[in-house]
Amino acid sequence: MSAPTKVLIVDDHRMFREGIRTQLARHARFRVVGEAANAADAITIMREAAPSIVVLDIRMPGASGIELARHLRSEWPDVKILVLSGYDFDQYVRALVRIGIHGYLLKDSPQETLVEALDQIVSGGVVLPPRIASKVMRSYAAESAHDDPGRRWDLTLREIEVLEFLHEGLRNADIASHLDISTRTVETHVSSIISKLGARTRTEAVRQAVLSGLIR
Amino acid sequence: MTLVLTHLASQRPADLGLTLTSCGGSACVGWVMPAGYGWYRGARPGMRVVSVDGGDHPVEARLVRPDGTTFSVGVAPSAVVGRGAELFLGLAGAAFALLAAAVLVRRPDAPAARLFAVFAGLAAVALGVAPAAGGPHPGWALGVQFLAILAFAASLPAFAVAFVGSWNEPNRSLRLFWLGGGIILAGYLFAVVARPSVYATVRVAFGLYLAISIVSAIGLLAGRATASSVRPAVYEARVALAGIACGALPFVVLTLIPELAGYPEPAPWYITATLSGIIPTAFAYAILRHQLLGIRRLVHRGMVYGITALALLVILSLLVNAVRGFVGATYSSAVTLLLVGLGALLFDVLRRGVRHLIDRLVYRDKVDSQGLLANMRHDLLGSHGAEKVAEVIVGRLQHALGLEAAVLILGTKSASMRVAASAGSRSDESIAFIRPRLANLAIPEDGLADVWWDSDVLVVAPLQASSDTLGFLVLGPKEKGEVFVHEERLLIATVAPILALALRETTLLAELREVSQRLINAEESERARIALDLHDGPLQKAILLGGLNGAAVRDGNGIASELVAELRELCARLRPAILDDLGLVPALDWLLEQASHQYAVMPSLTLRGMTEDDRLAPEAEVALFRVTQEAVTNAVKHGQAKAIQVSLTRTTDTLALRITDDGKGFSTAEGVPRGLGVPGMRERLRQIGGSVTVASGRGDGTVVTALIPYLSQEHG
Repeated sequence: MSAPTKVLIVDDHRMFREGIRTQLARHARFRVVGEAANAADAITIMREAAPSIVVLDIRMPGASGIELARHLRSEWPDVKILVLSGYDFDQYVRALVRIGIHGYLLKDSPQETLVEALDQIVSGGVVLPPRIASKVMRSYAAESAHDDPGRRWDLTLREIEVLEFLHEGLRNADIASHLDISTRTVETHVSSIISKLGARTRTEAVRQAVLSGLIR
Repeated sequence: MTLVLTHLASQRPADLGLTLTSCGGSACVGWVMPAGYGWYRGARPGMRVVSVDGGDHPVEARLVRPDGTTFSVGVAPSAVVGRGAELFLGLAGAAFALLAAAVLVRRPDAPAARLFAVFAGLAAVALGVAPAAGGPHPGWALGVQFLAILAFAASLPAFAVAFVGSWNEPNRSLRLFWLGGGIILAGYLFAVVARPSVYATVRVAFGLYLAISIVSAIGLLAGRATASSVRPAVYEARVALAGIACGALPFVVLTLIPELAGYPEPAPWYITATLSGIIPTAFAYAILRHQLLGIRRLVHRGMVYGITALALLVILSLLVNAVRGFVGATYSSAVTLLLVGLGALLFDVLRRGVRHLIDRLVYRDKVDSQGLLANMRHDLLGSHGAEKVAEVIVGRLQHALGLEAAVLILGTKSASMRVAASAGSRSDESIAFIRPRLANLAIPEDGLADVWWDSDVLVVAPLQASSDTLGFLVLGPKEKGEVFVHEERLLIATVAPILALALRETTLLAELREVSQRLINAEESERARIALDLHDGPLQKAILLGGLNGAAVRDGNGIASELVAELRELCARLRPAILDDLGLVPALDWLLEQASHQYAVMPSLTLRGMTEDDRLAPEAEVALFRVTQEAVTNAVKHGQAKAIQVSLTRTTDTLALRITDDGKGFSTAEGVPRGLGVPGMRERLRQIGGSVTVASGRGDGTVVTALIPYLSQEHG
């Protein structure tokens, strides 16, 4: 039999920590190497005991569990993280999945699910609440349509407005009257947009902008 | 001028009745005054002259009738006066014509101004066609002059009435006087057409008429001059009378008495003419100094400036000419060039100096800047509310600057502009005129724009506090057609930003008070709701779980999970943890998701130039989240919106949050309706250095745009 998996519990509530510890004590394949009530303690224990799984609460005084997860991920890329959370909002799950956690468990789920989840993670799997998992998958499918949603174009707000009107197929004069500016100003904006997007024509600029998610 | 005309009219008919000219080697009659003395004696144009004698003035001529018989008649050999006087009369006529034209163009609506124009126009015609000035054709010059002087005489008393008092319409005695003039005219025409002998009588009547006109005008002035009531008018009349006395005395002493007594004139004509010039000068001074006849409407100070600038130019060119003559031909062109350059450089400085002198000496402007500013300080210190301050200060400006209208307009877009305060008798007209023009007004560097309103100038000062333009201060026209002088413009340019600042501060204070009151109310009612929810839900369930009532709980787990859900929702309502944990974008995503569950609405969130994980400064995140929350609630509850688009756009230095809905919207003309929490939004954004604008139209939905300087909160 291999060595037990070293577990670190991070939660600011003593009651929760003890609950998890008692639960895990029944299973020899897990060994709780440390308990931390905040991010700073957790990092100290990480350095000293080198656990391979961290069970993490999101809400903590000081640095939040999310910040801690991000920090763990960058400093100890191999450590596995299971987040215990009171929130069943998919925004949390999506944000944490982007950081690269391995599991998300609601605190009010049945007791035995914790051990099941840890087993799943140890064997290389991922644990997400089923309702949230499907939503997260859908939203990722939608986002992958845009190759680089976060890319920053140094377009001004006005230029983006003009771009939207161009997308709608308006002529310069119409745009000018919509925005209450002169046609000459619109022309300046359009040529600036074209050069910033690296396009040759306005049509190409619009296509570029739509493809990169700058406008929809 | 009047005296020159009188002088002309009082010439014996023999002097003016006919002139001689040369025709084919011998002398003959050039023209004969219709119905004049020569005409009466039988002289006709073209009659041959047998002999001329009697010295130089007047002359006796012997003429040959067509039947061969001869007779004698007195003639004026050339003109009544010399060439210098011709020039003088011509120039004076041109000046009067110019004045009449200017007055008519500037104020065709004021009766007194029309009268003044008629007066000046008639004087111009009388002078211009005078035989002495040459005239277009001597044959009818006297006829026209007769008419001109007659009409002049008819309008003189009316002018005097307008001069000393208010002129509305002619009274009965004036009408009678004009009737007399009509009768004389009829008599003159009768003499020309039918009976030349009548002319002698007409001429006497004419002289009498002119005399009565002058005497009555002087009488009117004298009556006003001795009156004790209206002080400015008394001064005017006194100055005019003094002018007439000063001008008339030399004429009587130097010209009239010697001529009547048969002595040669003791002084050359030009001395008399120059001294007579005192009369119009005195009139002009009285008119300008005491703002007679609303003269500042007629002869605008701008005109006076223009004329003095022109005179300055003439003087400069005369100087250049004189120096040129002095230097001699060799260096003349170089010196001229130098002097012209120097003159051009000096011209503006001199022009300003002359302007200043005119302002000081003639108009004696006194702008009590210090008093006004002190009063403003007082108003601001004891102020309660922006509207009150605006009202009081606009009133002060109107009074201190002597304005017919002073208006304070808040708002910069034509749709949202509203009049916050106004004062003065013509403020309504001014508002109607300026309102549609304000939005497109180009404000120059010095912060004041001039807008022409007919012949008046409105000064428009934008109310700028830091970079915001709150509205406009529209001042003018000035009373009595006055113009704004330099000091007044400086004062306006100083007062406008102070006023803007004060308005903004008091508006902000009022908004702040409202916001804090609303916050307190909101906090209290939210507390009450939470207390109620805690009592009805979690507390009851906790009691059940605790089994205080001794009864066994059948479904403990079910109640516990309900308790958890209820507490969770309460927590989220107090402060969405998601905002602190994940940042603005996930929180907005959550907010819109909640909205779509709660209401029948389709929300969407668009990000440009930022990702879901980007964090902002915590206070910025809260502010933008609350603004969105408020806007979404408004859209759903007030606007019954079906779709809400939220976009976050990050540019190089700005983050723009825009919430667009397709709801009912509202008309922004009356300002943003209360109850939408806009002051609260504004206050939140203001605290993080941002701004919020709400644009809407009835049936057009609403667009809320919040802009903040981009504050990145990068994760290390």
